[in-house]
Amino acid sequence: MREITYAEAIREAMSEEMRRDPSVFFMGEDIGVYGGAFGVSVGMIDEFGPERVRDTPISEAAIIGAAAGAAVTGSRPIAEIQFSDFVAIGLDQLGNQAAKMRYMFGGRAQVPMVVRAPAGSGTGAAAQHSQSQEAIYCHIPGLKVVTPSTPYDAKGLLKSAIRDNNPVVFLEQKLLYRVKGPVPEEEYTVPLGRADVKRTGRDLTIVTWGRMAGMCLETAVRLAEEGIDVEVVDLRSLVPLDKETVVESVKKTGHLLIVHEAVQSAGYGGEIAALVADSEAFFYLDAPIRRVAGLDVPIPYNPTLERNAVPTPERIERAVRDLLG
Amino acid sequence: MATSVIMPKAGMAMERGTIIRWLKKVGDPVIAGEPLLEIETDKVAMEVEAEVSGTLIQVVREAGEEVLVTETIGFIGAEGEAAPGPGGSGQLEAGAGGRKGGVRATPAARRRAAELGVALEAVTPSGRSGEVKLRDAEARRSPAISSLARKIAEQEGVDPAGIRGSGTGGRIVKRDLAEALARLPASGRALARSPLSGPRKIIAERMLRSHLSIPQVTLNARADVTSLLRLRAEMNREIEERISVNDLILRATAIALLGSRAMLATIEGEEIVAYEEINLGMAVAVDSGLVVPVIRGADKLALPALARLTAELSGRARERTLKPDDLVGGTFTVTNLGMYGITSFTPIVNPGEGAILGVNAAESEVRLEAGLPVERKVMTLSLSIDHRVIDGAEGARFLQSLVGLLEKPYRVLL
Repeated sequence: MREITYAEAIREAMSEEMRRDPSVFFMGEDIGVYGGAFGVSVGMIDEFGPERVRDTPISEAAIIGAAAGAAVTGSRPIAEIQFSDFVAIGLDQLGNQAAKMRYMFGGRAQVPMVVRAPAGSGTGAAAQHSQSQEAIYCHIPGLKVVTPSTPYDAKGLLKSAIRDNNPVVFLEQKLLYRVKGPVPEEEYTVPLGRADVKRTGRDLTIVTWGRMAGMCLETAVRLAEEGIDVEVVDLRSLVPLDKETVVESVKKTGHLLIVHEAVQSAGYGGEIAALVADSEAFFYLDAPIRRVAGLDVPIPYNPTLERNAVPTPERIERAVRDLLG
Repeated sequence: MATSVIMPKAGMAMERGTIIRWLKKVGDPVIAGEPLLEIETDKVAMEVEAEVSGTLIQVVREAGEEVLVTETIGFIGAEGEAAPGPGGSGQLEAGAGGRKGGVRATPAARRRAAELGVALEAVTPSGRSGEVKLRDAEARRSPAISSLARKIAEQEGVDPAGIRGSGTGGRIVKRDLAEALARLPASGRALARSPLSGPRKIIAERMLRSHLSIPQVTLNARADVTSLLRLRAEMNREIEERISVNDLILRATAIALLGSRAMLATIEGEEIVAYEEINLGMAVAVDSGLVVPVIRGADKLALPALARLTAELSGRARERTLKPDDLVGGTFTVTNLGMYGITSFTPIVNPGEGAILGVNAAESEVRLEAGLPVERKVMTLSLSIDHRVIDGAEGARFLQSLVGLLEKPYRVLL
């Protein structure tokens, strides 16, 4: 199968959906001639023109608000926020308007929009451009939250997100944009709300998402050489959540480690832990549930500190050994 | 306001203690300073006195339980005062929390144990915090057994795992047990089974460690102690302290060690440790086994002071009031079976030391002196050495000098 990058997979998903459905359009800061801060939309303005690939002012509230208005009046906007940290400026538009409309209009309005936003640390972009804030969106009923970890998932999930009739926060991973992976040329989608078991194993379940999925997989491969058989469950979408896959995996292995880049306190990992503790899988747990997550600090600028403010392969490996001890 | 009774930290190295028994019942009045309960550590058994006067209103930890130092084990309060329930103090909760529901076990272990009909209490936990894990529950698939049969099995000390059940689904019932018991040879039936714990456990571990890790050789030498015994009898008529034969031997041993420092050595890992101090361990038989209080700086003690100290230490050993710190730091041990008429034995080196001297009974023998038969008192000394670090010749030289001291007893008075 051909291999393309995560950024190219996202561009393909948007382009294919725009070709397929004329109501889909794309807007954001510097996405047109410049091709986006991370080059995701390079060339799209040439194919679709400035009407459907619209550069916006630097106003996240305006971008998200305009997307919500366009969605509720019949378009299917894709709004790019240059860094996910700045979704906060448009959070009223997203959480208080877009997320609420379907409910407040008794189901007679729908809001088919996608907010794409790069998240995560690792680029030396310091505290205001490096956060992983998925928990905030997960805490707002009415939003769907997607965190793809591979080019294949990114493309398939984005196509599903664009076709979904509800607001979807699509959190891309800055460090993954240049990562290549197999993506078929033929049409496919990945449904929202279905986790992917990236590696099957019998000893311990790691539930993870986003960039951490790759790190967990590498750790699992290394541990397999010692006969430690780790299952890696990549949630892919956090809302809706594939509870069944998580519960079944933990029932099989009896051990649960949750790994996410976002800070640990009040992170979505706590939700996963609670889900398992309150499920049939509880009776299969043979060790406490553990999290390996970001430290409760703003992401430092110093590269060494930055690397160690989020989970490292060493921390993940140590936690696995500890739980199986 | 109730005052908590805690597991005391009776020595620098003490981390936990086991409650042997409470000397007071809930509701009993207690007076500050009165013995409240007996505990034992891995080294010593002792009484714990009440710190305050009042009424024992609650026992949190029962006899037989092992408890971390400073953990609350009971409460003294006013008569009729309600006992603080679990959660009454954070410390109590932390201590008791792990015991709620009896055994500490993971959810998976609990589920599997229930499926297999395994009693969690009977499972040896292997978890990092002492919890029963799934693997432990699965390792102990104790057979289905009726409660009556289980009771009989416990009384008779029979492991039901080896019995074939004839009840529904292979369940072991009373008649299976009766048959199994009938097949047992009478001599093989246990009178009683009790957990290996406390001092006995420590003795067992140390003896086995010594036996397995230290190649030992025992050298025997005979000393004519006729003069020594005569000297002792004279001294005991003249001075206040009662000098025992053992005191004289301890004194002679300390002096002999000054000239045979090779005896004061041991091996720790890849290092040879040569001890500076002459700290003599003195083996004392007590009801619960054996304790070895240590006489520090024995070479610096004159005979009367040494005699006072040995009397005090052996008295406290029998009263179980030795502190853990009394039992550490030994560099050489003396063990005496002479009072039982033993004439020779092979003592086992105390791990951490290089040698141990066994003292035997003085026997009468007839010797010829200038052609005439005379009665002499002769004692065999049995020295076991760690042959890794002490050579036979070194041990022999030490024994030689010890025999010399005992045969010219004025030298032990110098």
